[in-house]
Parts: sequence; C-alpha cells; structure tokens
Amino acid sequence: MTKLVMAVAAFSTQAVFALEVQAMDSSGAPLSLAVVTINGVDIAPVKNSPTVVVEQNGQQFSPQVTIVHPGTSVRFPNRDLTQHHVYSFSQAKTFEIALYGGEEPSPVVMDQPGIIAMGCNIHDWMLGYVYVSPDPLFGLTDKAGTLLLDVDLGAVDKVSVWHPGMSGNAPLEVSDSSRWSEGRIEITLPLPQGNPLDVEQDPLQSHFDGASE
Amino acid sequence: MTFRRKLQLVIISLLLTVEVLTFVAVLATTRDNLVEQTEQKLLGAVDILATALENRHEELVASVRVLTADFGFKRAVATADGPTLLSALGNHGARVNAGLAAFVSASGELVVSTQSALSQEVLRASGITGLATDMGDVEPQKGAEQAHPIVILQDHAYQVVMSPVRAPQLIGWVVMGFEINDALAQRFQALINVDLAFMSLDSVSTDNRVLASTLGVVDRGVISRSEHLHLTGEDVVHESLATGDFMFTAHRLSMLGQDNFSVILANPLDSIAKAFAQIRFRLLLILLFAIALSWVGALMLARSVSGPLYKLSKVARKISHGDLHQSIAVGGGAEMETLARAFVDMQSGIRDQQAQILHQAHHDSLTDLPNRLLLTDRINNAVARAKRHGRRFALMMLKLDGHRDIDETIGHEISDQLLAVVSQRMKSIARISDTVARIGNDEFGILLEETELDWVPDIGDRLFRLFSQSVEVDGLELRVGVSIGYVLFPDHGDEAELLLRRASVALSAAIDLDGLHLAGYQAGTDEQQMLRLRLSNDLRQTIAQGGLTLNYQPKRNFHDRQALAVEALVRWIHPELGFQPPDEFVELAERIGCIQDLTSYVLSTVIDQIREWRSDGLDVVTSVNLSAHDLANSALPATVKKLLGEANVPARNLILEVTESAVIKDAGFAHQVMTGLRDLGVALSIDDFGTGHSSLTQLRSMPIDELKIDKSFVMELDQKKGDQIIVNSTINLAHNLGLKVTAEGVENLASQALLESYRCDLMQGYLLSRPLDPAAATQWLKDYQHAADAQSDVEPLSTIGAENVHKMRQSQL
Repeated sequence: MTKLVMAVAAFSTQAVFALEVQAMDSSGAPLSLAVVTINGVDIAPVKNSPTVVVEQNGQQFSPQVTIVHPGTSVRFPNRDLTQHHVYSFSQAKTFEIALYGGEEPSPVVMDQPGIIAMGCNIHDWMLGYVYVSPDPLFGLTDKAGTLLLDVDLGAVDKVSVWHPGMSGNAPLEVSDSSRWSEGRIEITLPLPQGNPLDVEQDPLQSHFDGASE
Repeated sequence: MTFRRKLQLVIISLLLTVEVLTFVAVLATTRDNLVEQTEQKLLGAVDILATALENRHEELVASVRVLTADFGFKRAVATADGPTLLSALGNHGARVNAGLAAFVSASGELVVSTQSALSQEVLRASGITGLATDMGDVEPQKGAEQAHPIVILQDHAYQVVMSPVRAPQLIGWVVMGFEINDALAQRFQALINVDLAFMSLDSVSTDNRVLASTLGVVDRGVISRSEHLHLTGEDVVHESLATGDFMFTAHRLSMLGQDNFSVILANPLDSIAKAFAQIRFRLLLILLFAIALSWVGALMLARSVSGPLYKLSKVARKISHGDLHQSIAVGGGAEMETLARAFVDMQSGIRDQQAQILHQAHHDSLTDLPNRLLLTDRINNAVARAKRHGRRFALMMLKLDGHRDIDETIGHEISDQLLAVVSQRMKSIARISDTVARIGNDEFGILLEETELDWVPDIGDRLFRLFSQSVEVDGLELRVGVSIGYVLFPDHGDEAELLLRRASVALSAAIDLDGLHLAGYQAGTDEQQMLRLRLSNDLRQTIAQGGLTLNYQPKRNFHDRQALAVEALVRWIHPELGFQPPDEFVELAERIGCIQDLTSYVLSTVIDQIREWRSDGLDVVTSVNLSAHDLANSALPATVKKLLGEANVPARNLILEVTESAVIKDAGFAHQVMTGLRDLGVALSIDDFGTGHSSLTQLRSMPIDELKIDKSFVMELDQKKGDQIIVNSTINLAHNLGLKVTAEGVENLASQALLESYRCDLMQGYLLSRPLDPAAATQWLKDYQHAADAQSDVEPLSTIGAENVHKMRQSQL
C-alpha cells in the first residue's frame, strides 16, 4: 500500500506567502508525482500555455503526469520509431488517436476538469495522466515528495491531492486550514509503498521489446 | 528304477520345488506390489491432478488475460452500459469457453454476471473479491495455492480466474469461471488413469454431491454417501461401488476460504485383479516354460551322466564278447574320461593277455615252436592254398631216437636243452614259409609248402645230416637220431587230421625200418591202424559191459574116463565186425592196458560156471588162459582166492594156463605170482609148450603142474614122425618132472591112439569136441559122464568123423 503525504509549508522567510506540501504513502515514504491543487477565492491561477505537449518517448508518456487548466490543448508528438495508439476512456475526456507515427496528430482539447488516464493500445504498459484541474493553482511533488507553492496562506480554502496510484478515485481534499497554518501540510495518501506508475510490462510485450532491441 | 531316472527325478523335483516356490513368492510379491503400486498411483494421481488443475488455471489465466487486453473489450468495459457489458462478457467468455463470466469493479463490487446465481455473497465467499480489494491493482501471485479458487454454483463447480481490466488504469476485474464437468473429469482420467469424482462436501448436512465424475450415475450416488470422503493425507481405502470394488482416496482441493471441495480418486480393484491375472498368466507361462526347460535340462544332465555309463557298459559288453579294438569316447566330464581310459587300459591289457594266451595256446613253451594245434591250422591253410594253386605240399613227422634215454639217464634239463637246440637247427634249415612244430615230447612236424615227392629224399637227407651233428649241452656231446615219416598233399589226404594221422603211420613204419628211417605213407596202413584203434575202444567197452562170452572145449582124461575137464576160451563176437580172433584181441587188451579187466572178467565168469556145474553134479576141472601181463600182477592170487571163496569153488577145479614166453619174460616176478597161485591150490599149466625158448632148468624150477603140448606138434601127429618123437619125449620128460601132459589139437583117431600109447594124460581137439557155448558144454559134459558111467571102456565120441571136424574148424575161423 502506498500513502501519499503532501506537505504544504510557508517559506521560512515569508511564511505567509508560501505553502510547502509534503506527500507520503501509508508507510510515510515521500510520494513523488503527486498532483496538488489549491482552491481559494483570491488565488491567482498558475500560468498554463494554451498548448501542452505530452510526448511519446521511449514507449512512455513524457511527462507521465501533466496538469492543465480546462480548455488546454494537448499535443501528442511521437518521438519513437514505433507507432502508438493513444486512447483514453476517462469521462473527462474520451479520445483515441489511432495508429500514428512521425506525423503529429491533431491536439486534443481537454475541455472538462477531471483525471484523464491515457494508455496506448499497442503498448499496454504505457500509462499517462492528464490532470485537468478545476483549481487555479497546482503542481507536482518532486522526488522528495514535496511541492513549494507561492501562495497566500490566508487565501487557501482547500488543498486537494491525487496520485496515479489512486487510479480513477477522486483526489484527497483537505479543507481544514489549521493543517497548513504553519505554511506546511503533510498529507498521507492511502497508497501502499512503491511507485504505481512502474507498471510491469506484459510478458508477451517484454518478449517483443527484447526482440526489437 | 535306473540311475538316470533317479537323477532326473531328483533334479526335476528340486527345480520344480524351486520354481513353484518362486512362482508363489513372485505372485505374492507381485500382488503386494500391485496393490502398493495402485496406492502410489492413486496418491501420485492426486499430485498430478493438482498440477493439472494448476496448469489449467494458468492456461485459463493466460487466455483470460489476452481477452482482457483486447482493446475493444476494454473500450466496452470502460464505456458501455450494463447490458452491453454483459453481452460483451458473454461474447468474450464464449471465446474462451468460460461457463461463467462476470465483471467486478476495482473496488470489488460485482457489476454484472452471466449467471444470476453468482451473487455478491457467493463472490465474496469464494474469496475473489476480497482478493481484489486487498490486492488492489496487483494481480494474485502465481503458483500460490490460493490461486485456484473454485466456485460452486447450483451443483456446478467452476474453476475461477480473474484478470484486471486496465483502460489503461485498473477499472475492474473480469472473473471467468470454467466448469469442472464430466468431460474434464474424463480428460483427467485419461491423464491419471483412475476414475475420479469432484465433489462438494457438506459436513453438516452430509449433503455431499458429485459435481463431475467419470463414474456412472449409480456409483455417484454410492460415492456421495461414502464415509471416506473426508479422508486426508495419504490414506487409501477400499470402497465398494455398484460397479465393483475400488481403491479409493480423497483429496481436498483448496479453495479460497472454503474447504468443501474435494476430489475422489478411485481405481477399480477389478483392474488390479485383471493386471494380476495377466501377470499371473504370464508367470504361469514362464513357470511352464521353466519347467519344460528344466525338464529338458534334467534329461540332458542325467543323460550326460548316464550316457557315458551306458556307453561304457556297452563297451564292457563288447569286450566280454571279445571286441578288444574299440575306440572309447564317452564324453561327460573328467571322471567319465578317467573311467573310459581305465576301460581302454583294461581293453589293451586283455588284448595283450589274450595275445599271450593265444601264443601259448599255439606254441610250445620249451622251444617256442608252433604246437600241434597251430600246425593243424597251418596244414588246413596249406591245403586251401595248394588246392587253389594246384600244388603239392609235404608233411613230415619226426621222432627223435634216443632222446628218451637221455631224458632218463642224464636228466630233463639237459634233454630239454637238447630239444631246444635241435628245434632251432630244424627251424634254421626250414624255409620261411615252412612250419616246424613240436607235436609231442620228442615228436616234431614239418610242413613243407610247395613240395614235390622227388624233393623229399633230399630234404630227409639234410635232416639226417643235421641230426648227425652232435649237440653240446653242459659240456656233454650228445647225439640223437631221428625217424621221419611223411605224407604228401593231395596224394595221401586232403585234410589236416588225415594227413597228420597218416604221417604218424608213416613214422611208425620208418621207426621199424632198418637203415635209413625215412618212410612215406603206404596206402592201407592207416586203415589197419584205424581198425585197431576202433577195436581197442570197442574192446574196452565190451569188457566193461560183460559183452564177452566164454566157450568151453572139453578134454578127455586118458586115465580116468569119468574125469571132466574143459578149457575156457574167451570169445568176442563184434556186433559189426563179427568174430574176433582171441589172440588178436587179447594182445590188443594187453597193449591198451585192460588185460587185468579181461582176466578178472574171465575168471569170475568161469568160476561162476564151475559153481553152476558143481551144483549140477558135474565136477569139472576148468583151465583158464592167463596173459603174460597177469603174471606181472601181484594182486592176482588174492583176486583168484576171493573169487573162489565167493563162489565156494575148490581151487582144484581151476587150472591156470600161462604161455611159455610169459613165464620167461620176467621170470622172477612171474615165479612169485605163480607160487602165490599154486599156494591157493590152483594147478598151473604151461600153454603152447614147445613154441617158446624155455630152458629145461627154468621148467624144472617153475611151480607148475602140467604141460600143454602145442597143437602144431599134435595136429598131424599120425603122419609126422618128427612130431611123434618130440611129443613122446616131451611127455616122458614131463612125467619125469612130475608134470601132467595135455595134448591140444587132436583131430583124428590115429593121433589119439598115438597119444594114448605115449601115456599122454589129457587130450583136447575137434576129435573130441569143438569149443561149446555154456549150455552146449553142460549138455556135452552130462552126456559124456553118462556115457562113461554106462560103459567105461567105450569111446564116447568116436562117432565124430574127420569130415565133421574139418567143418567145425571152418566155421570157427
């Protein structure tokens, strides 16, 4: 089981304008790649270019987790020599880009907030997420499981944390401001230890990969 | 029972015992093994079955996983509504022959199922959903025993596998159930070769049910009521089902969180019995084969022992029949070979001995010359050869002269050496083809092959010259002479016996020759000898059987007409050859040594006759002739005394006549015997007086009472003056010596008158009477006595004419 702990803490120098989020799994280990979104009335949205790129590189989505505002176009350029068949059956956005190679397919507009799980039909292990955040501010925890946000603590209404290991489940939401009053919040996700993104390859596919190398 | 049979019986019964025991032991072991094997098979089948189920599970997992990886399926599951999802499950489940298909959400909630009986509770009870929720996105670990959950729905057992559906993240689980049905049971049966039944157990209600089985309906019913269903571990029990007895084991197949599913393995005892029967049959075949083989082996072994023995016994039998040249190869091992060698040695030993005996049988031991037997054989061969080639051969028979003297005077040793030397000399001058044989003590035979009559004198000459050379033995110069008789083939005979006999006859003739003692066989001489030989044999027999008869020739006493006297004359009428002259057969008796028997016979017969006459009132003085040989018999007086005594006949009735020559021959001894006889009171008479050469001195000294003048002086007495002088003077001389005189051969009255005038005492002759048989003699004597009584001075038989006398003489001859 992995637990995701998110810590949100203020900068030590200017405590009121910073929140440090520490994400941990159920064993207390830091949890990277956790999606943290902050909701508050006066919070300025984080900058988000209208088009975001999720590459297919080395038969992986890169980046694996992408956070965007609703209405963002996501491009899926194929950097591999093999073709890919990217799809999503998520309710937020169902799409399918049938087999394509070097020619970049049309971008997909993520118009509704929600978690979009993406896979590749011909590479079952490929798993990527586009997190369409309803909240203005968001970010990903680093390898230490921490995320530092430049935010006015007083404006924060709710802190939501989600991790790919939680699959299609809704994010964990924290509304108790006392949790982050010190400029730091630790959030433990009900996940077992280990990175759920390291999904093992299908044995058959491994065989093919080995053969193609 | 023969040794071979015994040996066979022992071997066969031993082998049979061993084989039967082995058979029984092997059978028992086999049965045990078979049962144990079946147990092992059952227990092994459990493992195989578990592995098979596991393999099946993995196959099912793999196939279900392929199914869940299908993009269309994923899309259907991720996006479709309930009915669509259900139909998709049904469709895809059908692809992998799943009897049950369901979808469970990632959180473990049953979403849809192709079987309404599969409720959330059942699912939970099966442990699948628990597994799903517990494990989250992680698949159940492979190989874990819990990985083969089995769900029982409405008496159908399903092997359940589940596979996550990721689109691309986990959105739920596909659960598929594969029925464990009779077909599967049969597939497993094909694998493990035992009957099996998958059962649901209910320990509380004992509502045990057979879910799938290879068994029939009835057996399923029986087995569901079996009390052995809750067996654990490696127990194997016997269970009787409707179709027969089974070996039976139960194995609990694990289920997630449940233990009410079990598999029963049953191996029909019938199959064991069948296998056992088959093995037993084969063993029986092997046993029979082994018995047959050992029988043959025993026969051969026994034969290998008895065979050589039988062969040896055959060899021994042949040896006993004289076959001494057998090669003896018996085989059968070293002992038999040793025995066979002993037989070979024995054979050659017998052969050598036989050869030696044969040599001894055919050779003279002193001179090593062939003996008579071999000579006979050689003559036979020579006869055959000579006949074939039309040639002659000669056979000589030699007798050494003077050898006997050397033998008696100088000794055997010297004479033997002499013989040996002479033999060698004879051999040295003989040709190689000739045979020099020793056929008697000093008799030799020489077979001269291819010899003509003309050559014989020359050969004889060489032999005489050879014998004229002296032989030196022990410093003594010895010389022996030789007589040679010879015969020629085919002139003198054509067979060995005849030739030998005639050569012997010739030799006898040669011995009697003056000058050169060499004689060939003269025709006829052999036949005389043969006749003598035959007469000798017949005479001996006739004497023994009392076949001789006695005739009596009456005498007349010139002085006393009433005095009765006869001379007993022995007569032999041969049944085939007729009358035999007494002179000849008496002499023959003397020569063949049976004169004593003859004399005894005559004496006893005569004395008996005298006794008879005496009882008839005839007092007859009877003369009996003795042989010269009788006078050499010192027992004669005793014999005579005994005979007289037994017959109660006075000695004066007997006169014994002896010839002049007999008395002279061995005067001393004869004198003694005669004295012995005379002492008995028996009168003695000299017979044939005048023919011998006795001197008057001897005559004077001899104990005699009478002279008998030989008939040669008497027969023509009336006509010959000389005879008259001799007879007259002899009578005077005898009277002067105190002897009586009897004249023989008186044939006419003139001679009788002369004799009476000479005062001769007695006379006999044909004038008076020829010799008469006992009955006639008795009658004659009675008549004579009667006549004498009636007219004492009348001549009683003067009527007998000279003509009659002559006739009688004729018939007598």
